[in-house]
Amino acid sequence: MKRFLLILAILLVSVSAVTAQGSPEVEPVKKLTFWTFGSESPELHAVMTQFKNTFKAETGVEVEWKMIGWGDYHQSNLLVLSSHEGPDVTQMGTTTVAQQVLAGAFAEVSDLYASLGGDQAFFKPMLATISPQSVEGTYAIPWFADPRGLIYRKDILDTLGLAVPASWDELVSVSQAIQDAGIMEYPIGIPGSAMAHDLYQTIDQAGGVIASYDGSSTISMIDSPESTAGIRFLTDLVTSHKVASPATAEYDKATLRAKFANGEIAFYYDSPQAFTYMQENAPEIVDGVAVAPAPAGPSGKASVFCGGSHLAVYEYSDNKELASQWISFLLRPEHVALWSKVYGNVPALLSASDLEGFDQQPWNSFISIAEQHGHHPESGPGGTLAKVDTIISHTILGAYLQKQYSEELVGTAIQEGKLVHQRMIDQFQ
Amino acid sequence: MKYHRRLPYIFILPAFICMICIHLIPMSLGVLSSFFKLNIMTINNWIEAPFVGLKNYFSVFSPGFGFLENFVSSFSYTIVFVVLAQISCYVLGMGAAIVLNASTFRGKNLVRGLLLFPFILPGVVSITNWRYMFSYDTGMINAFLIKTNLIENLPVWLVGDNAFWAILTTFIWIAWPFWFIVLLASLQTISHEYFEAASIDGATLMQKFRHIIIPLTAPVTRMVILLTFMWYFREFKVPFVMMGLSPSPEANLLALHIYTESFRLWNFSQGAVMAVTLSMVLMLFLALRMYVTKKERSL
Amino acid sequence: MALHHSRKLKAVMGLCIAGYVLWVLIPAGNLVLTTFKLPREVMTGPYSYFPQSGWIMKNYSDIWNVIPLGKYLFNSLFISSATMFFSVILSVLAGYGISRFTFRGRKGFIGFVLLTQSFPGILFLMPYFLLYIQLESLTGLHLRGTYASLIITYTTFALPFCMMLMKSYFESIPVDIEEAAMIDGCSQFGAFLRIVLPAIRPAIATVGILGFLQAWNDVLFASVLTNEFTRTVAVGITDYASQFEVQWNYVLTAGVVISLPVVIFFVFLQKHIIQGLTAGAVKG
Repeated sequence: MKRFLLILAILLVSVSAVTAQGSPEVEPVKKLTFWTFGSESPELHAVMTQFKNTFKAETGVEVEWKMIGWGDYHQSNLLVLSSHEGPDVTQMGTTTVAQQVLAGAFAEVSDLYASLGGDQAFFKPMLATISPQSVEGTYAIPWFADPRGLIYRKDILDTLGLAVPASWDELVSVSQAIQDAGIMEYPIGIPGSAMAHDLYQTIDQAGGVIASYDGSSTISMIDSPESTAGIRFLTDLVTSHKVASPATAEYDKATLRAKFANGEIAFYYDSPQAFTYMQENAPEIVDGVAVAPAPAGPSGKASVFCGGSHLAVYEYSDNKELASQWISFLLRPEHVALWSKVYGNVPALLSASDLEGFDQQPWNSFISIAEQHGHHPESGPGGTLAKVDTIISHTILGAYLQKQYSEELVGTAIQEGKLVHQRMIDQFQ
Repeated sequence: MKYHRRLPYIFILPAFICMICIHLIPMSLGVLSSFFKLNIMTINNWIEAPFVGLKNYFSVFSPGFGFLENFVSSFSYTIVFVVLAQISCYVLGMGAAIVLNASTFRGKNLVRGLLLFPFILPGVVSITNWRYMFSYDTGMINAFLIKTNLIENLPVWLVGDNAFWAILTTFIWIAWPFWFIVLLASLQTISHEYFEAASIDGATLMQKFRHIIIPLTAPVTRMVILLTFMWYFREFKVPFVMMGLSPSPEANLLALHIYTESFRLWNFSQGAVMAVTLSMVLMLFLALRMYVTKKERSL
Repeated sequence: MALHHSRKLKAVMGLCIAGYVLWVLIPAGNLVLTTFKLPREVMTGPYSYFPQSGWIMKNYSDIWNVIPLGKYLFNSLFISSATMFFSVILSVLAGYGISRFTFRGRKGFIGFVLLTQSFPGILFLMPYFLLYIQLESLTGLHLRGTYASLIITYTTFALPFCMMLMKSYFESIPVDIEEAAMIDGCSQFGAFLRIVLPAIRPAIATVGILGFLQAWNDVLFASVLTNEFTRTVAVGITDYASQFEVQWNYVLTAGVVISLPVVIFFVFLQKHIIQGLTAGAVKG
């Protein structure tokens, strides 16, 4: 027993020694923590530093800002959710807002939203995701929008005397014409290693939805005839039409940007950031590039997937009042415009859309196509695709290797995708 | 030797505390969490997550939920992966050890150091390098295939069936030097006289290999096989760095599968069930290893 | 060594050695040469082994802005060195304890140490995540994302192997030497310090190196237990490589930069590393 007590004593002493060292000090200055996601750049840093300084001068509050890579996005969210420790204010991607709200992460910001002008003040495609369908009230304030249009080589189409494709059939025939002219081997680029956005868009073009909410529960619609048609179309691009590369499943957005800049592909979907990239890496082609909505599928509906980011206040925050002040500050038109510009997206605040050159090409094209055709999947637990996009993109390759579209192969993949998707949805209900 | 009876405990105490805090407690919690409902909704307040008994085990091990199918597929690929990796590493390592042991030339130490290079290079670096080499239209391997005109349709390495071979090759490149250096050390303990006597008797190379090298390196080989089985079975780094969180089923080794299930799909309890199962398999192997060691000592 | 090889055999062995060297060097060359290519050449091909547009140093000057490598390197060096230090101290003490004394619970302790080897790291991941959080809310002790949490974790994970290695080294040193010293007036602890410790220097080097490499190379724990301030190089690169917009020239350049310390380490300590590996495998 004596021995045991000795061990216990040593344990206690060592633990308390470390604890004493680690206990937090009292902080005199009021602080607010703020997370954004993306890749850090000196320009972003300069803009945020300016914001922080101005805010401090106005309110005396110090903002601690952290930029986290998108690769860490889900894990950071999970961490905050489980530890109740994180920022007061965070940037939140449109597709994940609903899940976070359902899991109880965010505080309601309806009053703040109303004071900023409500629905009329913001870019229409962003309104769908400020709260989950099943929940009343507003939980996120739109910050900037990320419309993805069809980026295409207008110069090549002009030379060949072709118009920009407006339907799936035209997309295929125009691509084949480019192939026949010997200009490119595979004119269409699909980012198969992260193609959730392409799936949202293609399923919308086909007239389907990825999940549906009937007022009480949400069901995955990955296996609906419309979704199947969309997935089949993507598969066909690689297999029967051979206008997209068999290595599609390996590509990500960076690959496609580099390929487009290098003149290897003529069509792919991207946000305004594409133009920033081209100006830096391939200034010679910029003038021949234009943007259009994604061509219409069987539903006859052209589509522009319009994601983007909101600002949200964490439920666990002790500084909700300050958090609202900071969001109001960030949402001043000039601030929204400046940040969106440097970040490479378009402002989600209507009064900011004629600042910072957003009323000029190519930005205004993105804004106008998103206003007309902007689409976002349902705001609910099924808003993200879990692993479904990977299952599909791997199936596309499988179909290619079998040298034909295979009902059975794609059917199995869709069933598996639905199972995974529904399982994720069910966690929330 | 005389000593105070408390002395040995003082010596092992720091290690003991670490093992309790970092191994035993988390491990118990890991096993426990397989009996609770732990997902994105309950993680918010995990200490009060509902107890569900064997329900998680039931959902993982009965068909129809999608868990079992994925688990079985992942498990089978892992077994094949481990066995093929061990065979290849043994062949490569033994070959290099024999050649290097039997030859003398200037710079032999340099060559030996060079062959260890893949083992020294941080794993992440080797793996990203191989991932780039395997990429479809910018990688070295397909560029080589184009040059040689061997294959009409270029293979896609990182997705589908080939993904398995891609991770296996990468893994072997990283892992084989360990076998090489251990087998080399073991060969160096064999007296030259055996070989000389065999030569005088007119033994062929193959006979020397079968009757001298194999039996005399057998104990070491056996240990290495049992040891690396446990290491390789829980391999995480190669598929994770190469394929990220969305690997093809062919490259979805067990550890990565568990990681994805937990941290991407938030099925923490099901992840825990699979981790517990994996531990059971490894424990079985540990028992086998201890049995073999014991038997060898008593010989 | 038996040197009476025929010419033919010598030629075959030469070819074999050349084959092995190429098998190692070709991928390594790809790694190094890519870092001297233009980003566009790397991203779009066509592939060529040697840089086509001259030897570009731009990747090496840019990399520090693309990935905060300086910070990562410092974190890795600090965490790895501390792990090295603690795994040596802990395994020397424990190894000495279990090889020199017989005491109640010795067998149980050894069994426990061996048993821990069979638990996969993945089983511990979620519990760490939850425990560090819980510890924080209960005691205010901040562990997650700190150097301390990683150092403790790596040290403990290196322990079973290192401890067993130490045990076998201690067992190879005769007890008589110590007893002789104790007769000459040394305390047991004094004998340990003056006689035993110097004799096991090679084992200490080995254990230190294994601890260092364990911490330097790990991705699994670091991916969950670090935050952006304590991120290690291995995870830093993995994270960068798993983003939507990965640029191979930067990934590989960062790879070369983080490999340099380890390769230099190896060149100077080759003997100890090799000894460690072989001893560990055969005895562990």
